[in-house]
Amino acid sequence: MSTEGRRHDRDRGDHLWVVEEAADVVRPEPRVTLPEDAADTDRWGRSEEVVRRVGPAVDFLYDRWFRTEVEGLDKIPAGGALLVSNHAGALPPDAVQIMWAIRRELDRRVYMMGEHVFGRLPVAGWMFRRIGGVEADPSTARKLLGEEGQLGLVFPEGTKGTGKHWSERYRLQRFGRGGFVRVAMDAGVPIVPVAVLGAEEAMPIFGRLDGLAGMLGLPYVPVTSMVWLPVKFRIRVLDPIDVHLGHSDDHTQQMVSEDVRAVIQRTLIDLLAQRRSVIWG
Amino acid sequence: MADVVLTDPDMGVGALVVDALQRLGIEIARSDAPAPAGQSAAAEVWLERLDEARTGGLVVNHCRLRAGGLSRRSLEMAERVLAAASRCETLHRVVVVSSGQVYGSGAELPTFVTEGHAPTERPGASATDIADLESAAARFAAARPDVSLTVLRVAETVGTAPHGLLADHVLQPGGFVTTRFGYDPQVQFVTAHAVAAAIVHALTEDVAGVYNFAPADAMPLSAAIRLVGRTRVPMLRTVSLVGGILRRMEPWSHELGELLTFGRALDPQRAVDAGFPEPSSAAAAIAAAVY
Repeated sequence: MSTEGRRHDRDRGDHLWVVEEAADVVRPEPRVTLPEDAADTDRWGRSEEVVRRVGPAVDFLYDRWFRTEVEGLDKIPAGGALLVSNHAGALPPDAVQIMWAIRRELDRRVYMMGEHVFGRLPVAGWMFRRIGGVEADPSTARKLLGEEGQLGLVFPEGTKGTGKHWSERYRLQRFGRGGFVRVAMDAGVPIVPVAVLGAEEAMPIFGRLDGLAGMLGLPYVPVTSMVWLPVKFRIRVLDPIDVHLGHSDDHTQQMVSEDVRAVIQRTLIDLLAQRRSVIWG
Repeated sequence: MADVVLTDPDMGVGALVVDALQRLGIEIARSDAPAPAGQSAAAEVWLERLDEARTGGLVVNHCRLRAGGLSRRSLEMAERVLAAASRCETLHRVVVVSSGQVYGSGAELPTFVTEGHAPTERPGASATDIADLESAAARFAAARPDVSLTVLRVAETVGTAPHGLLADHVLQPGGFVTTRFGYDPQVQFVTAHAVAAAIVHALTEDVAGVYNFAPADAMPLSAAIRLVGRTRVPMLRTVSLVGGILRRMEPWSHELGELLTFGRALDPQRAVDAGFPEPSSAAAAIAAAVY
Protein backbone atom coordinates (compact mmCIF):
# COMPACT_ATOMS: atom_id res chain seq x y z
CA MET A 1 0.00 0.00 0.00
CA SER A 2 1.39 3.35 -0.98
CA THR A 3 2.03 5.76 1.77
CA GLU A 4 3.01 8.60 -0.50
CA GLY A 5 0.97 11.73 -0.13
CA ARG A 6 -0.14 13.56 -3.22
CA ARG A 7 -1.19 17.14 -3.30
CA HIS A 8 -4.21 18.07 -5.36
CA ASP A 9 -4.78 21.33 -7.10
CA ARG A 10 -6.73 23.22 -4.45
CA ASP A 11 -8.88 24.91 -7.07
CA ARG A 12 -10.05 21.63 -8.56
CA GLY A 13 -10.06 18.88 -5.95
CA ASP A 14 -11.87 18.36 -2.65
CA HIS A 15 -8.81 16.84 -1.05
CA LEU A 16 -5.71 18.68 -0.07
CA TRP A 17 -3.68 15.54 0.26
CA VAL A 18 -4.52 11.97 -0.63
CA VAL A 19 -3.55 9.20 1.75
CA GLU A 20 -4.74 5.68 1.19
CA GLU A 21 -4.65 4.65 4.83
CA ALA A 22 -3.88 7.14 7.56
CA ALA A 23 -2.81 4.43 9.99
CA ASP A 24 -0.09 3.29 7.57
CA VAL A 25 1.76 6.57 7.48
CA VAL A 26 2.18 6.87 11.22
CA ARG A 27 5.07 4.93 12.69
CA PRO A 28 3.69 1.60 13.94
CA GLU A 29 2.98 1.27 17.63
CA PRO A 30 4.66 -1.49 19.62
CA ARG A 31 2.91 -4.83 19.21
CA VAL A 32 2.27 -6.50 22.51
CA THR A 33 1.01 -9.93 23.39
CA LEU A 34 -1.63 -9.63 26.06
CA PRO A 35 -1.86 -12.22 28.83
CA GLU A 36 -5.04 -14.29 28.69
CA ASP A 37 -6.38 -12.68 31.84
CA ALA A 38 -5.67 -9.14 30.60
CA ALA A 39 -9.29 -8.12 31.11
CA ASP A 40 -11.91 -10.61 32.21
CA THR A 41 -14.86 -8.30 31.56
CA ASP A 42 -16.85 -7.49 28.46
CA ARG A 43 -17.11 -3.90 27.26
CA TRP A 44 -19.99 -3.25 29.68
CA GLY A 45 -17.99 -4.41 32.70
CA ARG A 46 -19.72 -7.78 33.12
CA SER A 47 -17.32 -10.45 34.29
CA GLU A 48 -18.04 -14.06 33.43
CA GLU A 49 -15.48 -14.99 36.06
CA VAL A 50 -17.36 -13.15 38.81
CA VAL A 51 -20.68 -14.65 37.63
CA ARG A 52 -19.09 -18.09 37.71
CA ARG A 53 -17.76 -17.51 41.23
CA VAL A 54 -21.12 -16.48 42.65
CA GLY A 55 -22.77 -19.34 40.73
CA PRO A 56 -22.84 -21.91 43.56
CA ALA A 57 -24.53 -19.46 45.95
CA VAL A 58 -27.11 -18.45 43.33
CA ASP A 59 -27.66 -22.11 42.41
CA PHE A 60 -28.46 -22.79 46.06
CA LEU A 61 -30.95 -19.91 46.23
CA TYR A 62 -32.52 -20.88 42.89
CA ASP A 63 -32.78 -24.64 43.45
CA ARG A 64 -33.04 -25.07 47.22
CA TRP A 65 -34.11 -21.87 48.93
CA PHE A 66 -36.64 -20.33 46.53
CA ARG A 67 -37.19 -23.52 44.42
CA THR A 68 -37.81 -21.27 41.44
CA GLU A 69 -40.15 -22.47 38.69
CA VAL A 70 -40.19 -20.66 35.38
CA GLU A 71 -42.52 -20.92 32.38
CA GLY A 72 -42.69 -19.26 28.98
CA LEU A 73 -38.97 -18.87 28.35
CA ASP A 74 -39.60 -19.88 24.74
CA LYS A 75 -41.37 -16.54 24.28
CA ILE A 76 -38.10 -14.65 24.62
CA PRO A 77 -36.97 -13.66 21.11
CA ALA A 78 -33.63 -14.81 19.77
CA GLY A 79 -32.36 -11.23 19.31
CA GLY A 80 -32.40 -8.24 21.59
CA ALA A 81 -35.35 -7.61 23.88
CA LEU A 82 -36.25 -5.60 26.94
CA LEU A 83 -37.62 -7.71 29.78
CA VAL A 84 -39.94 -5.73 32.05
CA SER A 85 -40.87 -7.15 35.43
CA ASN A 86 -42.53 -6.34 38.73
CA HIS A 87 -40.20 -5.65 41.65
CA ALA A 88 -40.66 -6.22 45.38
CA GLY A 89 -38.94 -7.06 48.65
CA ALA A 90 -36.75 -4.91 50.88
CA LEU A 91 -33.68 -6.50 49.30
CA PRO A 92 -35.26 -7.83 46.10
CA PRO A 93 -34.03 -11.22 44.87
CA ASP A 94 -36.22 -11.17 41.73
CA ALA A 95 -33.59 -9.80 39.36
CA VAL A 96 -31.10 -12.54 40.10
CA GLN A 97 -33.81 -15.23 39.83
CA ILE A 98 -34.84 -14.00 36.36
CA MET A 99 -31.24 -13.62 35.20
CA TRP A 100 -30.34 -17.06 36.51
CA ALA A 101 -33.35 -18.77 34.92
CA ILE A 102 -32.44 -17.36 31.51
CA ARG A 103 -28.74 -18.14 31.95
CA ARG A 104 -29.43 -21.76 32.90
CA GLU A 105 -32.25 -22.52 30.48
CA LEU A 106 -31.30 -20.40 27.46
CA ASP A 107 -27.58 -19.89 28.07
CA ARG A 108 -28.01 -16.15 27.49
CA ARG A 109 -26.78 -13.13 29.37
CA VAL A 110 -29.21 -10.67 30.89
CA TYR A 111 -28.10 -7.12 31.62
CA MET A 112 -30.00 -5.48 34.43
CA MET A 113 -30.67 -1.87 33.54
CA GLY A 114 -30.73 0.06 36.79
CA GLU A 115 -30.69 3.60 38.04
CA HIS A 116 -27.51 5.64 38.05
CA VAL A 117 -27.54 5.53 41.84
CA PHE A 118 -25.99 2.03 41.72
CA GLY A 119 -22.81 3.48 40.29
CA ARG A 120 -22.37 5.71 43.33
CA LEU A 121 -22.30 2.85 45.80
CA PRO A 122 -18.92 1.43 46.80
CA VAL A 123 -18.56 -2.36 46.49
CA ALA A 124 -22.28 -2.84 45.64
CA GLY A 125 -21.89 -0.67 42.53
CA TRP A 126 -18.83 -2.65 41.51
CA MET A 127 -20.66 -5.96 42.07
CA PHE A 128 -23.73 -4.70 40.21
CA ARG A 129 -21.66 -4.04 37.09
CA ARG A 130 -19.67 -7.26 37.27
CA ILE A 131 -22.80 -9.44 37.30
CA GLY A 132 -24.30 -7.58 34.33
CA GLY A 133 -25.67 -4.30 35.63
CA VAL A 134 -25.71 -1.26 33.39
CA GLU A 135 -27.38 2.12 33.65
CA ALA A 136 -30.83 2.50 32.06
CA ASP A 137 -29.74 5.02 29.45
CA PRO A 138 -31.14 5.27 25.89
CA SER A 139 -27.71 5.24 24.24
CA THR A 140 -26.70 2.18 26.27
CA ALA A 141 -29.94 0.40 25.31
CA ARG A 142 -29.44 1.16 21.63
CA LYS A 143 -26.02 -0.42 21.63
CA LEU A 144 -26.63 -3.28 24.03
CA LEU A 145 -30.08 -4.40 22.91
CA GLY A 146 -30.37 -3.00 19.40
CA GLU A 147 -26.87 -3.57 18.02
CA GLU A 148 -25.55 -6.42 20.14
CA GLY A 149 -28.88 -8.27 20.40
CA GLN A 150 -28.60 -8.76 24.17
CA LEU A 151 -31.38 -9.00 26.75
CA GLY A 152 -32.00 -6.12 29.13
CA LEU A 153 -34.05 -6.28 32.31
CA VAL A 154 -35.81 -3.30 33.87
CA PHE A 155 -38.06 -2.78 36.87
CA PRO A 156 -40.12 0.33 36.11
CA GLU A 157 -41.53 0.43 39.64
CA GLY A 158 -38.01 1.10 40.94
CA THR A 159 -37.76 1.77 44.66
CA LYS A 160 -41.53 2.38 44.80
CA GLY A 161 -41.90 -1.37 44.31
CA THR A 162 -39.18 -2.56 46.63
CA GLY A 163 -40.06 -0.06 49.34
CA LYS A 164 -43.80 -0.80 49.51
CA HIS A 165 -45.45 -1.93 52.72
CA TRP A 166 -46.53 -5.54 53.26
CA SER A 167 -50.16 -4.40 53.10
CA GLU A 168 -49.58 -3.33 49.46
CA ARG A 169 -48.25 -6.70 48.34
CA TYR A 170 -49.26 -8.00 44.90
CA ARG A 171 -50.22 -4.44 43.90
CA LEU A 172 -47.94 -3.06 41.23
CA GLN A 173 -46.86 0.54 41.73
CA ARG A 174 -46.82 3.19 39.01
CA PHE A 175 -44.51 2.52 36.08
CA GLY A 176 -43.27 6.10 36.20
CA ARG A 177 -43.53 7.97 32.92
CA GLY A 178 -42.93 4.82 30.94
CA GLY A 179 -39.36 5.64 30.02
CA PHE A 180 -38.68 1.97 29.40
CA VAL A 181 -41.04 2.12 26.39
CA ARG A 182 -38.93 4.86 24.87
CA VAL A 183 -35.81 2.83 25.57
CA ALA A 184 -37.25 -0.20 23.73
CA MET A 185 -38.51 1.97 20.86
CA ASP A 186 -35.14 3.66 20.47
CA ALA A 187 -33.36 0.32 20.52
CA GLY A 188 -35.91 -1.19 18.11
CA VAL A 189 -36.54 -4.24 20.29
CA PRO A 190 -39.73 -5.78 21.70
CA ILE A 191 -40.82 -5.57 25.33
CA VAL A 192 -41.22 -8.91 27.07
CA PRO A 193 -43.34 -8.66 30.25
CA VAL A 194 -42.28 -10.96 33.07
CA ALA A 195 -44.40 -11.64 36.18
CA VAL A 196 -42.67 -12.81 39.37
CA LEU A 197 -44.45 -14.20 42.41
CA GLY A 198 -42.49 -14.68 45.61
CA ALA A 199 -40.44 -11.52 45.94
CA GLU A 200 -43.34 -9.90 47.82
CA GLU A 201 -42.90 -12.34 50.69
CA ALA A 202 -39.16 -13.06 50.49
CA MET A 203 -38.23 -9.98 52.53
CA PRO A 204 -41.44 -8.13 53.41
CA ILE A 205 -41.48 -4.59 54.73
CA PHE A 206 -43.53 -4.12 57.90
CA GLY A 207 -42.56 -0.52 58.46
CA ARG A 208 -40.26 2.24 57.25
CA LEU A 209 -37.93 4.54 59.13
CA ASP A 210 -38.34 7.52 56.84
CA GLY A 211 -36.55 9.96 59.14
CA LEU A 212 -33.45 7.79 59.24
CA ALA A 213 -33.66 7.23 55.48
CA GLY A 214 -33.68 10.99 54.97
CA MET A 215 -30.63 11.42 57.20
CA LEU A 216 -28.74 8.68 55.39
CA GLY A 217 -29.83 9.79 51.94
CA LEU A 218 -31.38 6.39 51.19
CA PRO A 219 -34.70 5.76 49.39
CA TYR A 220 -35.98 3.88 52.45
CA VAL A 221 -34.85 2.13 55.61
CA PRO A 222 -37.10 -0.91 56.10
CA VAL A 223 -38.28 -2.77 59.18
CA THR A 224 -37.99 -6.22 57.70
CA SER A 225 -37.07 -9.84 58.22
CA MET A 226 -33.38 -9.04 57.52
CA VAL A 227 -32.99 -12.43 55.77
CA TRP A 228 -34.71 -13.88 52.74
CA LEU A 229 -37.53 -16.19 53.79
CA PRO A 230 -37.71 -19.53 51.91
CA VAL A 231 -40.78 -18.74 49.84
CA LYS A 232 -41.62 -20.43 46.55
CA PHE A 233 -40.75 -18.35 43.44
CA ARG A 234 -42.74 -18.57 40.23
CA ILE A 235 -41.70 -16.68 37.10
CA ARG A 236 -43.95 -16.45 34.04
CA VAL A 237 -42.65 -14.94 30.79
CA LEU A 238 -45.46 -13.37 28.73
CA ASP A 239 -45.93 -12.69 25.03
CA PRO A 240 -43.58 -10.07 23.59
CA ILE A 241 -45.05 -6.67 22.72
CA ASP A 242 -43.71 -5.11 19.55
CA VAL A 243 -43.15 -1.42 20.17
CA HIS A 244 -41.34 -0.73 16.95
CA LEU A 245 -44.34 1.32 15.86
CA GLY A 246 -42.72 4.48 14.71
CA HIS A 247 -44.83 6.43 17.21
CA SER A 248 -42.68 7.88 19.91
CA ASP A 249 -44.92 10.56 21.38
CA ASP A 250 -45.48 10.69 25.12
CA HIS A 251 -49.09 9.55 24.84
CA THR A 252 -48.17 6.33 22.99
CA GLN A 253 -45.37 5.75 25.44
CA GLN A 254 -47.73 6.10 28.39
CA MET A 255 -50.37 3.85 26.78
CA VAL A 256 -47.90 1.05 26.11
CA SER A 257 -46.52 1.42 29.62
CA GLU A 258 -50.00 1.05 31.12
CA ASP A 259 -50.68 -2.01 28.92
CA VAL A 260 -47.47 -3.69 30.12
CA ARG A 261 -48.26 -2.89 33.74
CA ALA A 262 -51.80 -4.24 33.38
CA VAL A 263 -50.74 -7.54 31.81
CA ILE A 264 -48.13 -8.15 34.54
CA GLN A 265 -50.68 -7.25 37.25
CA ARG A 266 -53.27 -9.68 35.78
CA THR A 267 -50.68 -12.45 35.57
CA LEU A 268 -49.55 -11.85 39.14
CA ILE A 269 -53.16 -12.23 40.34
CA ASP A 270 -53.48 -15.37 38.23
CA LEU A 271 -50.29 -16.88 39.73
CA LEU A 272 -51.56 -15.94 43.18
CA ALA A 273 -54.88 -17.70 42.55
CA GLN A 274 -53.05 -20.89 41.59
CA ARG A 275 -50.82 -20.85 44.67
CA ARG A 276 -51.85 -22.96 47.67
CA SER A 277 -48.96 -22.20 50.00
CA VAL A 278 -46.48 -19.31 50.24
CA ILE A 279 -43.73 -21.76 51.21
CA TRP A 280 -44.57 -24.79 49.10
CA GLY A 281 -46.16 -23.15 46.11
CA MET B 1 6.39 27.06 2.06
CA ALA B 2 4.33 25.21 4.62
CA ASP B 3 1.32 23.01 3.99
CA VAL B 4 0.39 22.31 7.59
CA VAL B 5 0.86 24.27 10.79
CA LEU B 6 1.13 22.23 13.97
CA THR B 7 1.15 23.47 17.56
CA ASP B 8 3.10 21.55 20.21
CA PRO B 9 5.00 19.45 17.65
CA ASP B 10 7.76 18.17 19.90
CA MET B 11 6.21 15.59 22.16
CA GLY B 12 4.08 12.48 21.90
CA VAL B 13 1.28 12.85 19.39
CA GLY B 14 2.73 16.02 17.87
CA ALA B 15 6.06 14.39 17.07
CA LEU B 16 4.33 11.42 15.46
CA VAL B 17 2.16 13.66 13.29
CA VAL B 18 5.22 15.63 12.17
CA ASP B 19 6.97 12.40 11.26
CA ALA B 20 3.96 11.06 9.35
CA LEU B 21 3.34 14.25 7.41
CA GLN B 22 7.00 14.56 6.51
CA ARG B 23 6.94 11.02 5.16
CA LEU B 24 3.98 12.08 3.03
CA GLY B 25 5.99 14.95 1.66
CA ILE B 26 3.76 17.49 3.36
CA GLU B 27 5.68 20.45 4.65
CA ILE B 28 5.27 21.29 8.32
CA ALA B 29 5.48 24.62 10.04
CA ARG B 30 5.75 24.88 13.77
CA SER B 31 3.71 27.63 15.30
CA ASP B 32 6.33 28.03 17.98
CA ALA B 33 9.28 28.26 15.62
CA PRO B 34 11.23 31.50 15.63
CA ALA B 35 10.01 33.77 12.90
CA PRO B 36 12.59 34.85 10.38
CA ALA B 37 14.08 38.31 9.99
CA GLY B 38 14.07 38.94 13.71
CA GLN B 39 10.28 39.26 13.94
CA SER B 40 8.26 38.21 16.95
CA ALA B 41 7.35 34.54 17.04
CA ALA B 42 3.80 35.44 18.04
CA ALA B 43 1.26 33.15 16.43
CA GLU B 44 -0.47 35.99 14.61
CA VAL B 45 2.70 37.08 12.90
CA TRP B 46 3.57 33.52 12.07
CA LEU B 47 0.17 32.83 10.59
CA GLU B 48 0.22 35.99 8.50
CA ARG B 49 3.36 34.70 6.95
CA LEU B 50 1.79 31.30 6.49
CA ASP B 51 -1.16 32.87 4.75
CA GLU B 52 1.28 34.25 2.24
CA ALA B 53 2.63 30.72 1.97
CA ARG B 54 -0.85 29.33 1.24
CA THR B 55 -1.13 27.11 4.31
CA GLY B 56 -3.72 24.38 3.82
CA GLY B 57 -4.05 22.70 7.19
CA LEU B 58 -3.79 23.48 10.87
CA VAL B 59 -3.50 21.03 13.74
CA VAL B 60 -4.14 22.47 17.17
CA ASN B 61 -2.44 19.97 19.38
CA HIS B 62 -1.54 20.36 23.01
CA CYS B 63 1.09 18.24 24.55
CA ARG B 64 -0.24 17.35 28.00
CA LEU B 65 -3.37 17.46 30.09
CA ARG B 66 -2.45 17.45 33.76
CA ALA B 67 -4.26 17.75 37.07
CA GLY B 68 -4.00 21.51 36.83
CA GLY B 69 -5.38 21.55 33.28
CA LEU B 70 -3.57 22.31 30.06
CA SER B 71 -0.28 24.11 30.29
CA ARG B 72 -0.88 27.87 30.07
CA ARG B 73 1.36 28.07 27.05
CA SER B 74 -0.55 25.31 25.22
CA LEU B 75 -3.96 26.82 25.82
CA GLU B 76 -2.87 30.36 25.04
CA MET B 77 -1.12 29.23 21.87
CA ALA B 78 -4.17 27.22 20.77
CA GLU B 79 -6.52 30.15 21.31
CA ARG B 80 -4.27 32.65 19.57
CA VAL B 81 -3.56 30.36 16.64
CA LEU B 82 -7.26 29.65 16.12
CA ALA B 83 -8.10 33.35 16.29
CA ALA B 84 -5.37 34.17 13.80
CA ALA B 85 -6.26 31.22 11.59
CA SER B 86 -9.74 32.65 11.05
CA ARG B 87 -8.03 35.31 8.90
CA CYS B 88 -5.94 32.82 6.92
CA GLU B 89 -7.74 32.60 3.58
CA THR B 90 -5.95 29.60 2.18
CA LEU B 91 -6.87 27.35 5.11
CA HIS B 92 -9.01 24.32 4.21
CA ARG B 93 -8.73 21.96 7.16
CA VAL B 94 -8.38 22.50 10.88
CA VAL B 95 -8.03 19.70 13.41
CA VAL B 96 -8.39 20.50 17.12
CA VAL B 97 -7.23 17.79 19.51
CA SER B 98 -9.58 17.95 22.46
CA SER B 99 -10.19 15.44 25.25
CA GLY B 100 -12.94 13.25 26.64
CA GLN B 101 -12.30 15.08 29.90
CA VAL B 102 -14.80 17.64 28.62
CA TYR B 103 -17.55 15.21 29.71
CA GLY B 104 -16.08 14.95 33.20
CA SER B 105 -16.75 11.76 35.12
CA GLY B 106 -19.62 10.65 37.33
CA ALA B 107 -22.23 8.03 38.08
CA GLU B 108 -24.69 9.82 35.81
CA LEU B 109 -22.60 9.23 32.67
CA PRO B 110 -23.61 6.29 30.47
CA THR B 111 -21.11 3.46 30.07
CA PHE B 112 -20.15 4.86 26.67
CA VAL B 113 -20.54 8.62 26.28
CA THR B 114 -21.62 9.88 22.87
CA GLU B 115 -20.74 13.23 21.33
CA GLY B 116 -24.26 14.51 22.00
CA HIS B 117 -23.70 14.34 25.75
CA ALA B 118 -23.39 17.77 27.34
CA PRO B 119 -20.06 18.79 28.90
CA THR B 120 -19.83 18.26 32.62
CA GLU B 121 -21.69 20.71 34.83
CA ARG B 122 -19.00 20.38 37.51
CA PRO B 123 -15.85 21.12 35.53
CA GLY B 124 -12.49 20.95 37.23
CA ALA B 125 -9.38 22.68 35.94
CA SER B 126 -8.88 20.24 33.05
CA ALA B 127 -12.48 20.18 31.87
CA THR B 128 -12.59 23.99 32.06
CA ASP B 129 -9.47 24.29 29.90
CA ILE B 130 -10.79 21.76 27.40
CA ALA B 131 -14.12 23.60 27.26
CA ASP B 132 -12.20 26.85 26.62
CA LEU B 133 -10.28 25.15 23.82
CA GLU B 134 -13.52 23.90 22.22
CA SER B 135 -15.06 27.36 22.62
CA ALA B 136 -12.15 28.79 20.65
CA ALA B 137 -12.78 26.12 18.01
CA ALA B 138 -16.48 27.04 17.91
CA ARG B 139 -15.60 30.73 17.44
CA PHE B 140 -13.32 29.72 14.59
CA ALA B 141 -16.10 27.62 13.02
CA ALA B 142 -18.51 30.56 13.23
CA ALA B 143 -15.99 32.88 11.61
CA ARG B 144 -14.93 30.44 8.92
CA PRO B 145 -17.80 28.16 7.90
CA ASP B 146 -15.92 27.44 4.66
CA VAL B 147 -13.16 25.59 6.54
CA SER B 148 -13.57 21.94 7.50
CA LEU B 149 -13.12 21.82 11.28
CA THR B 150 -12.62 18.49 13.07
CA VAL B 151 -12.63 18.30 16.86
CA LEU B 152 -11.23 15.04 18.21
CA ARG B 153 -12.19 14.24 21.80
CA VAL B 154 -9.57 11.65 22.54
CA ALA B 155 -9.52 9.09 25.33
CA GLU B 156 -6.68 8.93 27.84
CA THR B 157 -3.61 8.81 25.62
CA VAL B 158 -0.55 6.74 26.39
CA GLY B 159 2.83 6.71 24.70
CA THR B 160 6.06 8.57 24.99
CA ALA B 161 4.20 11.42 26.69
CA PRO B 162 1.10 10.27 28.60
CA HIS B 163 -1.76 12.65 27.97
CA GLY B 164 -4.59 12.66 30.44
CA LEU B 165 -5.13 12.64 34.17
CA LEU B 166 -5.74 8.91 34.46
CA ALA B 167 -2.98 7.91 32.03
CA ASP B 168 -0.54 10.05 34.01
CA HIS B 169 -1.71 8.51 37.27
CA VAL B 170 -1.58 4.89 36.15
CA LEU B 171 1.82 5.29 34.51
CA GLN B 172 3.44 7.34 37.28
CA PRO B 173 6.87 6.13 38.33
CA GLY B 174 6.98 3.72 41.25
CA GLY B 175 5.31 0.42 41.81
CA PHE B 176 2.05 1.61 43.39
CA VAL B 177 -1.09 3.26 42.09
CA THR B 178 -3.67 4.65 44.51
CA THR B 179 -7.33 3.88 43.78
CA ARG B 180 -10.69 4.33 45.52
CA PHE B 181 -11.66 1.52 47.85
CA GLY B 182 -14.83 -0.22 46.67
CA TYR B 183 -14.69 1.10 43.09
CA ASP B 184 -13.25 -0.39 39.93
CA PRO B 185 -14.53 1.77 37.07
CA GLN B 186 -14.46 1.13 33.32
CA VAL B 187 -11.72 3.10 31.59
CA GLN B 188 -10.20 3.46 28.11
CA PHE B 189 -6.80 4.22 26.68
CA VAL B 190 -5.50 4.94 23.19
CA THR B 191 -1.93 5.08 22.00
CA ALA B 192 -0.34 8.29 20.76
CA HIS B 193 0.19 6.45 17.44
CA ALA B 194 -3.54 5.90 17.04
CA VAL B 195 -4.30 9.55 17.82
CA ALA B 196 -1.66 10.64 15.30
CA ALA B 197 -3.26 8.41 12.66
CA ALA B 198 -6.65 9.98 13.44
CA ILE B 199 -5.18 13.46 12.99
CA VAL B 200 -3.66 12.47 9.63
CA HIS B 201 -7.07 11.07 8.62
CA ALA B 202 -8.82 14.28 9.63
CA LEU B 203 -6.29 16.32 7.63
CA THR B 204 -6.62 14.22 4.52
CA GLU B 205 -10.36 13.47 4.46
CA ASP B 206 -13.30 15.79 4.70
CA VAL B 207 -14.61 14.76 8.11
CA ALA B 208 -15.84 17.96 9.69
CA GLY B 209 -17.50 17.61 13.07
CA VAL B 210 -16.92 16.50 16.64
CA TYR B 211 -15.72 12.94 17.15
CA ASN B 212 -14.92 10.80 20.13
CA PHE B 213 -11.70 8.95 19.43
CA ALA B 214 -11.33 5.87 21.60
CA PRO B 215 -11.25 2.08 21.37
CA ALA B 216 -14.56 0.26 20.94
CA ASP B 217 -14.13 -1.43 24.30
CA ALA B 218 -13.40 -0.42 27.88
CA MET B 219 -11.65 -2.24 30.70
CA PRO B 220 -11.64 -2.19 34.50
CA LEU B 221 -9.10 0.16 36.02
CA SER B 222 -7.76 -2.72 38.13
CA ALA B 223 -6.92 -4.70 34.98
CA ALA B 224 -5.11 -1.70 33.48
CA ILE B 225 -3.00 -1.28 36.62
CA ARG B 226 -2.20 -4.99 36.58
CA LEU B 227 -1.17 -4.85 32.92
CA VAL B 228 1.38 -2.11 33.55
CA GLY B 229 2.86 -4.10 36.41
CA ARG B 230 1.80 -1.76 39.23
CA THR B 231 0.12 -2.60 42.51
CA ARG B 232 -3.21 -1.09 43.50
CA VAL B 233 -3.44 0.72 46.82
CA PRO B 234 -7.17 1.25 47.51
CA MET B 235 -7.95 4.26 49.68
CA LEU B 236 -11.23 4.99 51.44
CA ARG B 237 -13.42 7.67 49.95
CA THR B 238 -13.72 10.57 52.34
CA VAL B 239 -17.18 11.09 53.80
CA SER B 240 -18.89 14.41 54.05
CA LEU B 241 -18.49 14.89 57.82
CA VAL B 242 -14.72 15.04 57.70
CA GLY B 243 -14.39 15.32 53.95
CA GLY B 244 -13.39 18.95 53.95
CA ILE B 245 -10.23 18.20 55.90
CA LEU B 246 -9.47 14.76 54.51
CA ARG B 247 -10.00 15.72 50.89
CA ARG B 248 -7.10 18.11 51.18
CA MET B 249 -4.97 15.17 52.23
CA GLU B 250 -5.96 13.01 49.27
CA PRO B 251 -3.20 12.49 46.75
CA TRP B 252 -5.56 13.38 43.87
CA SER B 253 -7.22 16.34 42.30
CA HIS B 254 -11.03 16.40 42.38
CA GLU B 255 -11.14 15.39 38.70
CA LEU B 256 -8.76 12.49 39.12
CA GLY B 257 -10.71 11.35 42.19
CA GLU B 258 -13.89 11.28 40.09
CA LEU B 259 -12.11 9.31 37.35
CA LEU B 260 -10.81 6.78 39.88
CA THR B 261 -14.34 6.41 41.26
CA PHE B 262 -16.53 6.43 38.18
CA GLY B 263 -14.15 6.17 35.21
CA ARG B 264 -15.28 7.21 31.75
CA ALA B 265 -15.51 5.57 28.34
CA LEU B 266 -16.23 7.24 25.01
CA ASP B 267 -18.45 5.86 22.28
CA PRO B 268 -16.34 5.98 19.10
CA GLN B 269 -19.12 4.92 16.69
CA ARG B 270 -19.32 8.25 14.88
CA ALA B 271 -15.56 8.18 14.22
CA VAL B 272 -15.78 4.59 13.00
CA ASP B 273 -18.59 5.56 10.61
CA ALA B 274 -16.45 8.45 9.32
CA GLY B 275 -13.63 6.05 8.45
CA PHE B 276 -11.18 7.03 11.17
CA PRO B 277 -8.56 4.30 11.70
CA GLU B 278 -9.80 2.13 14.55
CA PRO B 279 -7.41 2.07 17.48
CA SER B 280 -6.37 -1.13 19.21
CA SER B 281 -8.19 -2.29 22.33
CA ALA B 282 -7.89 -0.43 25.63
CA ALA B 283 -5.85 -3.31 27.06
CA ALA B 284 -3.45 -3.39 24.10
CA ALA B 285 -2.97 0.38 24.35
CA ILE B 286 -2.10 0.45 28.04
CA ALA B 287 0.12 -2.61 27.67
CA ALA B 288 1.99 -0.95 24.79
CA ALA B 289 2.74 2.00 27.07
CA VAL B 290 5.17 -0.07 29.12
CA TYR B 291 6.46 -2.19 26.26
